[in-house]
Amino acid sequence: MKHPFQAIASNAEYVFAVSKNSIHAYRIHSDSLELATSWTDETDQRTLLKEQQDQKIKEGNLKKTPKIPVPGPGAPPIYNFIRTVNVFERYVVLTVDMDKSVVVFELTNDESVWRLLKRQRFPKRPDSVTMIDDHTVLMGDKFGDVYAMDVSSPPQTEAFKPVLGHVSMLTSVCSATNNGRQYVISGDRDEHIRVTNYPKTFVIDKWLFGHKEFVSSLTVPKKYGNVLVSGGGDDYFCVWDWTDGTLKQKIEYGKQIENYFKEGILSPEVCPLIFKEGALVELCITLIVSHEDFLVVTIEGCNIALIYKFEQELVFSHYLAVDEPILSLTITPAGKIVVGTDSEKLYLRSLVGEDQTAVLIPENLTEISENSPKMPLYATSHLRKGAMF
Amino acid sequence: MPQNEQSVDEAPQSTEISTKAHKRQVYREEQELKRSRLKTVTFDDKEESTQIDLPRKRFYRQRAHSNPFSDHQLEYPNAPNEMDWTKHYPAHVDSQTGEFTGKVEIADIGCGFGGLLVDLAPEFPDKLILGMEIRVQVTQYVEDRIIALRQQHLAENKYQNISVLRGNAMKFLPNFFYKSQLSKIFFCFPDPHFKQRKHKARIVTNTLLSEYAYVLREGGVVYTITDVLDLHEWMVEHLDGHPLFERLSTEWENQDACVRIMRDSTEEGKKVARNKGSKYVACYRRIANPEL
Repeated sequence: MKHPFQAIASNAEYVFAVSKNSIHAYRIHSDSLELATSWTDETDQRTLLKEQQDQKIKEGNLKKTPKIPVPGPGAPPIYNFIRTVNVFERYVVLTVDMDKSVVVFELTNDESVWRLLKRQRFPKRPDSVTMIDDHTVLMGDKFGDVYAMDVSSPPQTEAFKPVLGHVSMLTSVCSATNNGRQYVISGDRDEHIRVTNYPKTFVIDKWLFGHKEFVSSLTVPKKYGNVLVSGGGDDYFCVWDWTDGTLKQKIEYGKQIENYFKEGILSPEVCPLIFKEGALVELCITLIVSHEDFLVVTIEGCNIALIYKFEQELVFSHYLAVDEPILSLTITPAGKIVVGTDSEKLYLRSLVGEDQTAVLIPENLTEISENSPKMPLYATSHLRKGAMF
Repeated sequence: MPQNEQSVDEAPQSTEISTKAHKRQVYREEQELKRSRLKTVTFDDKEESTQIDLPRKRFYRQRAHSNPFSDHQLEYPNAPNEMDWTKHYPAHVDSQTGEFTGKVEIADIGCGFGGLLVDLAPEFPDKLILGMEIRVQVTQYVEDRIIALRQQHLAENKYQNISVLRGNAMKFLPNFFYKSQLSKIFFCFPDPHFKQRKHKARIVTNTLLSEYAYVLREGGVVYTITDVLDLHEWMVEHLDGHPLFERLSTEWENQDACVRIMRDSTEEGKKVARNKGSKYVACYRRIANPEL
């Protein structure tokens, strides 16, 4: 059995697709992808625990040698996987769960594709990263804090100071500019979206109130710098002018999905996860991706992605359907959509126009044994309060 | 609370506990009934009003700590403009339009049993003061206390400017208050969270101070008091380190009425005095935002 692609990103030349703890860089051709290079995160838990033990011993003041904990039979499984992949101008930035680190690759413009620049560990699990300028990564963690990290300085061992913080798990962090001023926009597992000045992050600009459930994805489209699109556990997503704080539109994607179900476009056979006793469950948004005038929204457990277009306002354009629930999606600068699904396939589509769909089954996907669990591929809905994990 | 299923002859101690628990339950139910009745009554019929006793604290005891990170069943507005204050300050509602005419200006975060609120009320008769408390029972005690005080002072129309609500200020403060709405914020005897890994649960942290600065107006004051030296030093360190706060002098503290009240009138303050403990005070002024 092979592990599906759970995260994906792209630039003009490459698609970077993550399968479990490996990332593969594929060179983009007109209707195919060609493997250029791969990297696998080999960090294993025992080494980490050993390191922790050594650290404790080094700090001293111990009466006896601390034990290396061994998980008992009922312990929850520990997955070694890469959580997110993000591509910025010259860098590919990964967040890795195993040792709660941010990994930075620098793109090299030659056959080698990239080189590993930095691996920085953090005290809490990194959830979301963005770059605020050409050398600073901002990382939002599970504990609600955002840290600033220089991409090229050597890894820091002393404690980081957060630049800003929520008292809730951060799910999405993005950067934006207005009138030459920089801002950080952060969304959390409560329903808060906060706009903060940067670098003077102690001056909060505003909160954007509009969600009733957790926020999972924030996007400021490149072409529309004043616009923020936010979505999560609500059956609508919000379109804001984040600069003046006005909520421009609430788009009820939930109703639309329901119609697709009624029309037979969406079926419980293809996406069993979003049905319970023949009816749709509460939906949530996993990804909002923008490209030029278009915006693509994916819903957890659903094989359909909704595509909207910016005109006077954001309007529905068309949908994209694949054969399995969508896990990951990226749009290349040339307007090609690459979709990873709960299967071994990658779909290559064009954003507009009649589709010459290419379905690719890359050969070098991470092998997993039949009985070994896949990493939690559908974790977004568990952010809902009162949800059982 | 789990039912005590032990038989009577087995353990006399547990019987005693169960009768206590029973008494507490009966008392709370009675109070609940009174509360729901009084909240809807507008105190028009002054003749009819019976004397209401102040609530008794021992029926409202609750564990002193609460996890600020957990998802409590909290009620809070989606945004400040959706907050209905009329139930909290019925005397500040326009009888013609039914609209709320006041504005909350002073917040006591973690108000506990409400000692500070009650003493601040006569000091600032024309300002609205809100206590926020995360523990359910304790909030109900303060609610009952305010209802009783209002009822007892019906003729003078006193204690109409204080109220309490159950909430998590660390998470939802901006849901209640607009930018620059508050002139004073009090942190009296907050939970010290001694363990280092719990430090983020402290009410004063670098990142939270930015949120307090957001709801505080320029010139507004943050008041802190604690009997734990370690926590005092922590709060001073963080407030000193925050670019939007500036410490106020000891002379200022000595002439300020709020500092006096804070020292002497909170329940914790009294307890510390009884035990002859020390009280550490630090007050900070919100200064203007720098050029951005």
